[in-house]
Amino acid sequence: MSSDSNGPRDLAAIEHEAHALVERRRYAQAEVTVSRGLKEFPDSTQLQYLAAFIDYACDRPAAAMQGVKMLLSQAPQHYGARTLYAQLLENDKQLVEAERVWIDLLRDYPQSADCFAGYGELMLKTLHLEKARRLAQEGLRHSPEHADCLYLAAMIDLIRNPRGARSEHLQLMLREHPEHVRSAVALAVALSASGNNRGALRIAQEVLRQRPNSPELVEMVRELKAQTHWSMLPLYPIQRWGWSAAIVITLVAIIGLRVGERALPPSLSETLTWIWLGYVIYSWTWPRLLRRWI
Amino acid sequence: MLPTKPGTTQLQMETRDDLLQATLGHSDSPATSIYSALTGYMASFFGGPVAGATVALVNAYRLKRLGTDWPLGLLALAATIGPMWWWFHGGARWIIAYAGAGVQEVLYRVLGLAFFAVVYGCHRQYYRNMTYFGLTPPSGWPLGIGAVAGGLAVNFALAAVLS
Repeated sequence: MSSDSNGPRDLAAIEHEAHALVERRRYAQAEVTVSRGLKEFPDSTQLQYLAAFIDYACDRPAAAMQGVKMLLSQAPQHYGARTLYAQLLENDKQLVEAERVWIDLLRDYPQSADCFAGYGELMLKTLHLEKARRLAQEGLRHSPEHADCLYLAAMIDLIRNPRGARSEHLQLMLREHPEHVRSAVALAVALSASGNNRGALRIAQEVLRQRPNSPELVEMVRELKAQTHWSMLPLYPIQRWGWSAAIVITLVAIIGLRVGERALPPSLSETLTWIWLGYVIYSWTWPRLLRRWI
Repeated sequence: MLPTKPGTTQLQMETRDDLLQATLGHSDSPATSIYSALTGYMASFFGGPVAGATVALVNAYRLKRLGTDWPLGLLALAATIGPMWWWFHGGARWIIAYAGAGVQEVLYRVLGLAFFAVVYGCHRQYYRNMTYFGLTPPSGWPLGIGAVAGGLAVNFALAAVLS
């Protein structure tokens, strides 16, 4: 159906078209359809919701919040508006209010895996690992192949164990939802955690091509590009093994320099000390500069 | 058909009710981020185990897990008092004879970093959680400087008492 068909159309057709466009992420076209529809049917809660959702998807959170609040004042029980409201609050760091909305949603929709995943993600973003795990588990009990619950469970596996690439949740997610962006994101995180930053970068870049407006993906690609830059090679042990490597390198250096002070000629010992100091300064400053430049 | 196990539904309801209790927003709610591993590393390196424990226990307080992590404080005290007592009771003469003067600085750093390794082991899940979700830690400067100053003050005080 075309949005510029002549004459008035019925509300259901407009809503259907707008919904289909939003699902295909054709937000500019969807916005035109929705605004035309709202001129004809200003009371349509579905069109109001889609308008707010488009604002949210196009990174206009203030407009989305205004739209969703207006909609909720007319239809306080609108499911989509409430979930969108929770996400907007979460992004705006109004975490207490976001939690209240998720809990109210779960009381009204006790079997909604979407709500379990949404609330679980809020818990994970506030470092409540155990509660997030239980919420993901509960969501998966209702809907065992739910993509967002699997993503949540896979991320928890990765947090608990960096070798979580073997996580059954991640495997199930990749098997059941190979096209899902979050499957690719979880896989990229798993690859990076297991030391394969180049593989993770390839996946993240591919996902970014599909979602060029996602700030999280841009940040992920930037971080992975910095980590795979040739000038970061001397920091490979720290990138690969994290703080454990940083501790070991520091211990080896301070003990080694101490031994060198006694066993080596002073000029050589002094040179080694300067090399070590240079390495420390490089490890502190270079990754930050590189991230800014990329 | 086999009868339903008694209490199963009730148990599930209890689990659900528990899950639907608000976690954020109370006066005793945990903070939503902790001081970074870098803050702990630097504090431990420059201020020794006591400074490292200060950062670790502040993080434990923010995570509302002081009940689990309080032994880190005891471990830090033991890792400071024990070597210092040994140092002032014959250890210094012995180790300086083998490793030369100034070795106490190296020992101090080694102890600090070893302590940080223990702390990192305890809190690594939270650090990874913050990394994967891009959570911003609070600025570590005020706490880090305070912890290092406190750690050095404790060391000087202990040295004065034990020497």
